[in-house]
Amino acid sequence: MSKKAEVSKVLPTKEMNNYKQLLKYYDDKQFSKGLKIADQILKKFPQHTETLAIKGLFHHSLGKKEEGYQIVRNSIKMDISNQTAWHVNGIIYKNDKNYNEASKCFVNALRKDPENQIILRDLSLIQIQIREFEAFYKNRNKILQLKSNQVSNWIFCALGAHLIKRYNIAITLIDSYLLTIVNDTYTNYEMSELILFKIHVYSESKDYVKGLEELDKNESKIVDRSYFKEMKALFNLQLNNYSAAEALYLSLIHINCDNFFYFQQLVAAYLKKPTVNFDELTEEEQSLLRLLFEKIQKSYPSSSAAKFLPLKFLTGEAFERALDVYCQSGLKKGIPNLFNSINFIYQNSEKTLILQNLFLGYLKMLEAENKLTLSSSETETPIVKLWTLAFLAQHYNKINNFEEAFDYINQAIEHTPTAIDLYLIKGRIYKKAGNKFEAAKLFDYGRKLDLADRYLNTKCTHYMLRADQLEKAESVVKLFTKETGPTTNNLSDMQAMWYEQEKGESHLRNREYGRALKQFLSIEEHFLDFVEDQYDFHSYSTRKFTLRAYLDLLKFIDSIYSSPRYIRAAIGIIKCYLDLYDQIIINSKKSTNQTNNETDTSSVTTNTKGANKNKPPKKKKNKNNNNNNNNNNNQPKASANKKGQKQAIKGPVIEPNYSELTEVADKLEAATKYVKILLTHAPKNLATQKLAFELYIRKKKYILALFALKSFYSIAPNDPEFHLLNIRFAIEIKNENLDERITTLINAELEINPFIARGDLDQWNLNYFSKHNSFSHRLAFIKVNALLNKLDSIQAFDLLSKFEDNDSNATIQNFNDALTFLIQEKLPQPEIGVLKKKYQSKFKYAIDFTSEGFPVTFSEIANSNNLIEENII
Amino acid sequence: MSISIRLATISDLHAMQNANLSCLPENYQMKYYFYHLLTWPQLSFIAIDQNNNLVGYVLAKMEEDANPNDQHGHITSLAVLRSHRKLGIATKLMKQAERAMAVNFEALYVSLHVRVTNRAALTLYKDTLNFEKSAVEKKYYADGEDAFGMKKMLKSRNEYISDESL
Repeated sequence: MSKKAEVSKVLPTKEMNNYKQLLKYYDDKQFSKGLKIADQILKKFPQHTETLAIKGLFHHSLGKKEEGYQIVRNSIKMDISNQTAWHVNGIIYKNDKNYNEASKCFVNALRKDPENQIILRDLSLIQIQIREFEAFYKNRNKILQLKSNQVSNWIFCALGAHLIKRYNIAITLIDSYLLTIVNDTYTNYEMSELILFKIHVYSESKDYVKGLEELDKNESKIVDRSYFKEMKALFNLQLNNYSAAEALYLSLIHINCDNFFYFQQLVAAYLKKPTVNFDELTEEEQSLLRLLFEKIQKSYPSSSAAKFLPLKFLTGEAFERALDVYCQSGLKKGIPNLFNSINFIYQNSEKTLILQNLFLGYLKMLEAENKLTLSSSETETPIVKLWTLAFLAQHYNKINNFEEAFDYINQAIEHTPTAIDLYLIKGRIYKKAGNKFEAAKLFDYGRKLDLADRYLNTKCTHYMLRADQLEKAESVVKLFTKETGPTTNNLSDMQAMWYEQEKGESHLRNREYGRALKQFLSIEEHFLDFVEDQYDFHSYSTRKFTLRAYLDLLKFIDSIYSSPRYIRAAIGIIKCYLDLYDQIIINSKKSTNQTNNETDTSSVTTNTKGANKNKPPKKKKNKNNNNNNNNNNNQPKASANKKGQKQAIKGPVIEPNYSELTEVADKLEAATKYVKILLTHAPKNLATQKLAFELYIRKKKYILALFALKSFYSIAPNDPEFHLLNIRFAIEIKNENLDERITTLINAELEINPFIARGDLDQWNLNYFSKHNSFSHRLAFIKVNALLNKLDSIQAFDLLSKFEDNDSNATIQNFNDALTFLIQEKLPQPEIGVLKKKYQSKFKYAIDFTSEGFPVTFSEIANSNNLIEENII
Repeated sequence: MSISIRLATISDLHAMQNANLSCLPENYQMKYYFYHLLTWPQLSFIAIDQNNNLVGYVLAKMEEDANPNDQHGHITSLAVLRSHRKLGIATKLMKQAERAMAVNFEALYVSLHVRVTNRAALTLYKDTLNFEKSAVEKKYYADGEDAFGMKKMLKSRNEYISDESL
């Protein structure tokens, strides 16, 4: 707050001193004391606007926000041009993170005294927080004119110029300031950072020649040697000075021989190209690089990059030899990560076969003569056989040969039952083979072999949550959160978003929408906190001179909503709201059908049984229904629930339903907020477009739905899901009485986008069928038949039984989709049973085909298309 | 192996925080990570696999209250995923952080704390990384456990720089 601010009505000395005291109390956060003093002054001088405003500030700071705002508003009414009142109003808005309002108040506060530096500074911090760069620069320029003897004013102004891409001004400002510096004012590090900011500006403005000049001129002043060399190398590469760049990257490799980026750039410089793609090298280039890497390997035997990278560009025999050397060394060291490190080989079927034969050869030799190759003179320790078996298990898992994978991992476990990593490998095989319960069991087994290892604990929790064993998961994760209160609070305090995400998704699978929303919204809170966290660093970084890192922070925050973690949480939120909306629709339809005595158990199931009135289920009912739901679920869930009931008697905290979160009046409106965020920050994500379509079709916003459809097509034209959305759109607009303007717009779109379905939809579907012939495309064809009321059950069973010859890629998920669909359509149970058995014979270990009933909700359908990036490390 | 070691940047911090939560009992909020990278942008390093997944990190700082002739760095946190052990990643990360402390901030030595019961970490620091125990700090950790303070002298800035020439 401005201490110099003119005080509107002059107070007697005693009160004036008290008033000054007020500001100190605010700075020291002694709000209650301050409030007392303010009341004392106001008792004698109730018309003292400044004191009244500050009283409001104290109230606000003490948590009585509404009262605070009211008092401050009153002070403004008392004197509309009062600077302090407006300034205080801005501060409370700022404290509530309402930056737009705060900014307006500060502008008002500046009316009377446009040169008040404190208010100008407060305003500038808001401007940068909300990325009003132009206004920020103007404002900082003004502050600099007012007070040019302060270093931070120069830096802020240069930053502002840089952010609006007026690079020359940024450079001039830094240069002018550097001229005024007397020796020893700043540390070497601080001076160096200032110079490097300039280098950064040259780099952003692509002025590489100037950048190089500046680097050379200041070499002795730049303490960050790595950055100095990195930039010098980069500028040289950009300017096609290949030999200079090559020498510099070699010297960087000397500093860090494990930085893959240095190697990549070195290769570019070496081959005299701006960039290099390892998959597109000529034979001559390959042999050139082979020599280069051999040389580097000799100079830096510990460099992993030098050993590994040749595997990426070598082919044929040279590849085979290099792979052999690489794998033998990995096996001898007993490196658990050997398999994952060469995962990329599986993109190439030829190389994959080489790899398989290599390891089968190792195993044969180990079993016969206890060495890795015929020519080898060394006998190997047992550990080498162990890791060879483990490798083969992972290999066969990767190529979906679970039979072989289990065989090898069991041999490995028999060989060394104490090696924890083997249980994790076996667990992963189970997961991929379709049994998440066995997978979780194995991770639990591994975890128990080393209780002090949090990594094992984390992975085990992950797998338990994927198997919807929420209580087990919680009791495991708790072992590492030492506090006394409820576990999840501590994890949430520490921003453990992986846990919230997995837990939320598990709740969503169980249709516990309140609990799911609770977790997803908590992730959103964390993101709001990250954005808020940056505020303090605006002035901090200018004090520390770490401007490059600060610019990185701004960039990071600008793209924070594109991070996979946020996207997944937003997807979860949208699915919850859409599911909740669909429930209401289904409920209301059911109540109409009730007269026909129709009982429908296939779709949204038990959740809706109790609520057949024409409105959403009420709070209490919801609770009962949730219990209902759990009891009716298949085995593993039921058993987990029993445990829960036992615990309930013992008395630990039972997680509330958070039903208030599901009682949003307008579900679609609630979803819209998140769809919009995804459309802005993750437009290339298939889930974004799919969910946008689902939302807008429900809202009957057909143009927006059409945009989503088009975007979906542009990302994945051959995705079977597209065909379904496409036909759904065509049906919707046929049935709906559309506004003429909408029809015109849609027709215009149809004209330029031939892929949008139209006309005779049966024919359209048949055409589709004739062009695509994978299992999932056939399923899409059949689903569309159902949409068009043309479902032919004999044809459906026939098409869905074919998968062995022409489409070995059909996945467990595809089969699940098929069965879910057939049950939903109420096709005859015996035939479904036969199909199930057939699927089971292909995926022997998958439990899904043995359990009873398939849930059908929107969330599952959306899940089935791998729209969410699954990533368990 | 296929693990790359490079300087940590702000955009790596989500992954770093996640790895920390997955591996270690001492956890921090994001702001603390911001604070490290915005105060000492040169000192923290990460290890990434060929798919750009973070598999290890060192989060490091300078001791702020040290007097001018006792400048030294401090390792706030060091972790490598269990799945990526035996690759020497911790050693490589530490080597980069140590160099950066000496070169950028003229650190004389680097210090760290380790739980007295954490044998694996003690062995790593003592035998592999050549740290020495300097003191026992009573009840250093929130749960009441003691810590060993450990220390390692660093090469001087000039030595590091003359080592740069090939």
